[in-house]
Amino acid sequence: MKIKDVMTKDVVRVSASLGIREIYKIFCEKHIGGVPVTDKSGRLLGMVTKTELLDVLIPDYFDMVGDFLFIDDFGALEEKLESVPTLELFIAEDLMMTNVISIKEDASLMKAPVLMTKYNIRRLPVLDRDSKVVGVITRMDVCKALFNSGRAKPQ
Amino acid sequence: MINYVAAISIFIVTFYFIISGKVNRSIASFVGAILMVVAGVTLGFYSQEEAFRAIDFNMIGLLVGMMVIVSVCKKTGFFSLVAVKAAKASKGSPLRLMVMMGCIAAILSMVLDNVTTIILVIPITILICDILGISPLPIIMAEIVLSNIGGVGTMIGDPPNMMIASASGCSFDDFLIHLLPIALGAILLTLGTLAIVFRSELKTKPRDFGPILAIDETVIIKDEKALKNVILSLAVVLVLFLLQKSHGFHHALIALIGAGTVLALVRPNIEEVLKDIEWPILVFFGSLFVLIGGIEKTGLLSMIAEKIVALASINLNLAKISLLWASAGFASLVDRIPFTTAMIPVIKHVGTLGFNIDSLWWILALGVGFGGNGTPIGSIVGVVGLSMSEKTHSPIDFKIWLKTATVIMVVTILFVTLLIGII
Repeated sequence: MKIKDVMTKDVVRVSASLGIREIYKIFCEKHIGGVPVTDKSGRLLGMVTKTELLDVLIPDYFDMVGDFLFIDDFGALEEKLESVPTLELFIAEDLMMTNVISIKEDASLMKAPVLMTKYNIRRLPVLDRDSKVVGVITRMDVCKALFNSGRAKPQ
Repeated sequence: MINYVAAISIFIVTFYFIISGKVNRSIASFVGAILMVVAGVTLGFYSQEEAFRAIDFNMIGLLVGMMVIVSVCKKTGFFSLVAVKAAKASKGSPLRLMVMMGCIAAILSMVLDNVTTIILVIPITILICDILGISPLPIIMAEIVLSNIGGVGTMIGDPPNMMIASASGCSFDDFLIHLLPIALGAILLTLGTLAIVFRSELKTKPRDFGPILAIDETVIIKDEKALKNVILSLAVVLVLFLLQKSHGFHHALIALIGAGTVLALVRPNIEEVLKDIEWPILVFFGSLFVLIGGIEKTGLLSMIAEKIVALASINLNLAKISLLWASAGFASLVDRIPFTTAMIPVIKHVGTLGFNIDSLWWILALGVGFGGNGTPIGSIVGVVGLSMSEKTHSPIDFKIWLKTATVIMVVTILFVTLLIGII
């Protein structure tokens, strides 16, 4: 089986200039957790997932603090967060991760779960020969394909 | 003559690559050291055996021993505990928090490696300041500057001190007697300067002190037994150092006894501990020793020593002051480790010319130690601290450095200059 047989073809793409709030709305309405960011011709620029949305809230220095589990009340840090006007200024380009692991539409299905478990990612953008995004394959797509194989072909 | 030219050109080219940062300094010094030995063996001024003998394994062993203890210590949560205790004791006063965190950085740097201290203390400082809603800038600055100054106070506080200890044969308590009082004086001067420079930042009161009081300190330490064992091992090291004159153990042996004690008692994952040993720094030191060893064999350093003695016999204090300011200048503008490595054999030669060199060791230590605050690139602590502050809302820039740390460097070196007659 090929990736293109099991991927989700009806995929939402966003442009690099889309605002953070619009991206959040797409996540809510479509019940998805990540979108590919593409240029005008549909080529992949990056991915924005819920992780990137959460990352914006956390100050940069947190990855240097070894352990902060003993802190329960983040005090003024939290108050500052609620009144951050700059949060609205973030667009897809600032948020997206750029070193995205993607997969070709002609690749074998087994390649998807291998990549997903190796890099601990939930969804892979699927590219055609011109590096244009033609779909997305999620863990659920892979599961469906694997558990339904030999039976009815999945939708 | 060709020996001089070869040795000096290898040294200068290597030194250029070390300070320009174009090549990693460990790689630059390693390649330079190899070239020096090749040139020495070919021209006949330096043999492989002499190159090996030039490496001060006493100093390297001391460094490795302390690195092992620090590696085990930093996983215990001890640094977070100290920071939270200080925050609670400050009762929300930014000035009091700055004084306490600065003194903690200074005291920890006296016993542990400065860079480790800074890497573990600054992030938790920024977090506490953010929770309190105050500017972390004065406190980070205090920690950086006082970590450099505190490191001067003891024999094991800073690599230059370890090198000087190993070369001069001065004991742990010699360092305490000669350097600690001056370091303590410099700490007071520094805190005074910082309080004046940051007077407006230190006036802002925290919005709410409750979140800090709510922290449960007993949760911070994950492995209390490990922490107790680390403190016990450090105590063993300190006691052995204090009794050094009676048992005569070398510095490396004492530090390695401490490392052995902590490994035997805590039994940490040895692979993780060995990964924490900073091999690049050890390669850097080893290579510098070999490089300077080559220069020494050409007889150049004894020539410099004769010039110093000539100056000293005319005016002793002038010679001392020149050494002090030259050390401080070098430490603030370029790497202080190569400078210290080069000065040690020079001072030794001065000693062989029948001069009392004890005070010169202390002046060298004070000069390179306090001088490190002169510019952000003067010490690794400065470089690391600066890059950490870039992740806050008020990063330290060159202007802030100039009006705080550089001023403090000048003030502390002037302070030492005034005391030059009694050092």
